[in-house]
Amino acid sequence: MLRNLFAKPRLRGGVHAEERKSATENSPVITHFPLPKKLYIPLQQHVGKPAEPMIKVGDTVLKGQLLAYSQGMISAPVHAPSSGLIIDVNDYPAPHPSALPIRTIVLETDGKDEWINIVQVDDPFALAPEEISFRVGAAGIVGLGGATFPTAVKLNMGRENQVQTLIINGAECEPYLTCDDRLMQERAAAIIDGVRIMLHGMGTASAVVAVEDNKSHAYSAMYTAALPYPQIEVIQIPTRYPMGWDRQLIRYVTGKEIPVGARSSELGVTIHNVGTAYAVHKAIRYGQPLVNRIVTVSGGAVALPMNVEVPLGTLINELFSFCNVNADKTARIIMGGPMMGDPLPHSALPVVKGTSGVLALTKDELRDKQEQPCIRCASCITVCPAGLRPLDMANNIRINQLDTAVDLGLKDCISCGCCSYICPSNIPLVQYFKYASGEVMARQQAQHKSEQTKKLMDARNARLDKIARLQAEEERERLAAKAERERRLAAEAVEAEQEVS
Amino acid sequence: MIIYAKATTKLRSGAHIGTKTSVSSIMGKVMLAIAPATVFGLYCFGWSAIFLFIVTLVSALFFEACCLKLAGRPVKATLFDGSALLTAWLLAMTLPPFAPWWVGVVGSGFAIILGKQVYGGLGQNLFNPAMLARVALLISFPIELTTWANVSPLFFPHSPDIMESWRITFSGIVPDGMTGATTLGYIKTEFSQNRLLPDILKDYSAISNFFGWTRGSLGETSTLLLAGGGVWLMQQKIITWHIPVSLLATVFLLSSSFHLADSSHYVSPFLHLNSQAR
Repeated sequence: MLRNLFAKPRLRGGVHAEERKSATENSPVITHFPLPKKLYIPLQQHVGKPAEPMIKVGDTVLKGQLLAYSQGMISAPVHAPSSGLIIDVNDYPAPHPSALPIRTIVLETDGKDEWINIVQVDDPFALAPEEISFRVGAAGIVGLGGATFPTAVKLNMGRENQVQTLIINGAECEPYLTCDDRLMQERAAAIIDGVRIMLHGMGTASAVVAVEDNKSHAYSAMYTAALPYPQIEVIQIPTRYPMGWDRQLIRYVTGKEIPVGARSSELGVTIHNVGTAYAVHKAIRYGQPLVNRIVTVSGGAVALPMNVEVPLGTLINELFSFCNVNADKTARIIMGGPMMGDPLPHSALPVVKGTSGVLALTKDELRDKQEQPCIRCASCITVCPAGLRPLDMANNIRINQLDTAVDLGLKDCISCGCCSYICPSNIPLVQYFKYASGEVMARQQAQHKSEQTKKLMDARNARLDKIARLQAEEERERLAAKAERERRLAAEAVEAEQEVS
Repeated sequence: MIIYAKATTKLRSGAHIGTKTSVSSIMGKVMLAIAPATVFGLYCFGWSAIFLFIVTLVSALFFEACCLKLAGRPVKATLFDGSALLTAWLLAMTLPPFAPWWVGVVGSGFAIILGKQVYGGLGQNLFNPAMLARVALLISFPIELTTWANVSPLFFPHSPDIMESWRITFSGIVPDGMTGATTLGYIKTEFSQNRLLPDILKDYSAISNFFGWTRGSLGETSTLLLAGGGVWLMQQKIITWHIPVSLLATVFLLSSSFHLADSSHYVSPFLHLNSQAR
C-alpha cells in the first residue's frame, strides 16, 4: 500500500476529451465501397525516403503488384491497390495541411480488381524470423496508427535488441475514430494471428494487447481470440487521451520510462498498432501487400458516418460523397483525429497508409475562437503528458527565444494537443511548438550549411596556399638551378680560357 | 465534388476541439465561489457595505475601460471578461464595511492601473492586483482601513437605515458606538492593559467567528463560507490544494509552536485559522 502510494504515477497528464465515437462504433465496417475510377498513390506514405517508381505510364498492372520499391534503410514500397492502367506519374497535391504536390502514381482502374499471383503460407512459424520481417517490409507495411514508421525496421530492431515485451496498441484514444475498435470487434482472430507472427519475427516471448476500457466489445472479442495463446495477454487500460502515445502506454503497461533520445526497443519493449498486426497477418498468411485500410468517416457534417474499407489512393471526395457529407456545413476537414490530425484545405486528396480517419467537422464542433491573453492558470502544465511547461515555451517562442524553448524541452513535445485542448484562452500552443521546431531545424541546417561552406573555404585556402608554396619552391629551385648553371658556365669559360692560355 | 474547409482561423495544428472553459467562465466560477461569503457580509454590515461594494466594482470597470482605450485594445470585448470585476470584488471583500466611498475608488484605481494594466493587462501582473491595492490602502489610510463596524444586519432594529448608511459611506460620518475591534485587534489592545489570555478570551465565541457573526472586513468574516468556496473551487479544478493547504499549514505550525511555548500570551492555532487576518 505504502509502496503504491510513493510509486511513480503510471499516467502523466492527459485529458478526458469528449469521445464522440458513438456515431460509428456500433456499425460494421463497410467493405463494398465502389471501386474508384482513378487512384492517386503518393510515393511517400511513410516516414523515411520516398519509394522509387518501377513502372511507366501506359503499363497495365494487377492488384498487389509492386509499383515503387523502397529506397534505403528507412523506406517502404508501394503496391497497386487495384488492377488497371498507369496513366500518370507526376506531382499531385499531398494529403497534408499545405496540399503541396508530391510525386504520385495515378492508376486508372479496370473494374476487375484482379489480384497478382500471390503466395500463401500455411505455416508462417516455419519461416525464419528474418524472413518474416523481410516479407513484412516487402508488403509495404508501416505503422497504421498514424506514425507510419516502416514496421520491418521495428521488427528488426526488436530482434536485434532481444525485446522481451511486445505491446499491441489498441488504445485508439483520439475522439471520433473507431477504425481500430471495429477491426478488433470484427477481426480479432486475424489480429491475434498477426501478433503471434510478430512475436515469431522478433523472437519475443510474450505480448500484451492494451485496449482502452471504453471499448468493452473490442476487449471481449480480443480476449476470447487470445484465450488459446497464453503468451498473449489482453488487458484493459484507462480511457485517457493520449493513452495511445507509445511512451505513455509503455509506462502504463511496464512501468518503464523511456529516456529522452532513447528508443523503446533499447529498454526491451516494442509497440505496434492493432491495424499493423492485422496487416502483418494478411501479408504473411495470404501474401497480400498493404493496399487498403479501414478509414473512419465521421463528424457533424457527415450524414452517414461509418467505417469503410477503401483502396489506398481513393480520393477523400469519393469517401465524402459515399457518406453524404454536407459541403456547406463542413467547416474543417481533418485527416486523423481531432487532437493530432492535420487539417486539409480541400477534399481532392488521396487516402494514404496513415489515414485512420477523415473528419468533416462543423463550426459548432470546432474550437474556432479568438486567442486571449494567457492567465497563467497552468492547466497546460497539468495535462502535458511529456511533463513540459507549455506556457513558458510558448512565451519564449513568442519573443523568438527559441534556444530557451529548446532548453525547456521543445524537442520532447509530441504535439498531442492536450495543452491547446485545455487552454481557456484558446492559445494555439501546439502551433507555436510546431513553428518553433521547424524554425530550429531550419536554423540548424543553415548553421550546418555555413559550417560546411567554411570547411570548404578553409580547404580551398589551404589548397591555394600549398600551390603557392609549391610554386614558390619550384621558382626558388629553378632560380637556384639557373644560378648553378650560370656559375658552371662561367667556371667552364674560365677553365677554357685557362686552357687556351 | 471538391469540398473546401471554411473555418475562419488559419489554425494548422491540433487540437481542433476544446473544452468549453474560457477565461470568463473561470472568473465566473471564482465569483460564484466567493459569492456566499460576500452576500453574507453584505447582509451583516448592511447598506454601507452594499454602497461600498458597488462603488468599488463600478470604479474598477471605469478604470479598466480607460486603460483599454488608452492601450488601443478592444474595450467592449475585454471589459466584461470578468477579470476587472473579480479584482474589484476581491478588493471590496477586504475593505472595512464602513470605509468611505473614496477608499473603494482609490483602491480600484490602484489595483487596475498600477496592479494590472501597467504590467500589460490580463495575465501579465506580477502581484495579485487586489491584494496590492489592499496593502497600498492600508499604508496610505491606516485609520479608515482599521475602523471595524459592528455587526448590524439589514432590517435589524438597531442597524443604520438606508439614509444613515448613505451618510456613513459618502460623507464619512460614522455614528458613535457603531464600531469596535476585531478579535485579534482586541487581544492585542488588552495585552497592553496587562491582562492575560484566558481572561481576555472570556467573551470569545469560536462559533460566531466560524459562521462570520463578528467584526471584520466586508466579506472575510465567515470561515465556513470561505472554506466552502475554496473546496468548491478545488472540486471544479480551478485551483489545486497546494497553495491554500501550504498557507494554512504554515499559519497552523507557526502559531502552534508559539502557543505551545507560552499559552498565556499566544492564542491557539485554531483561533488563528478561524479568524480573519487582522
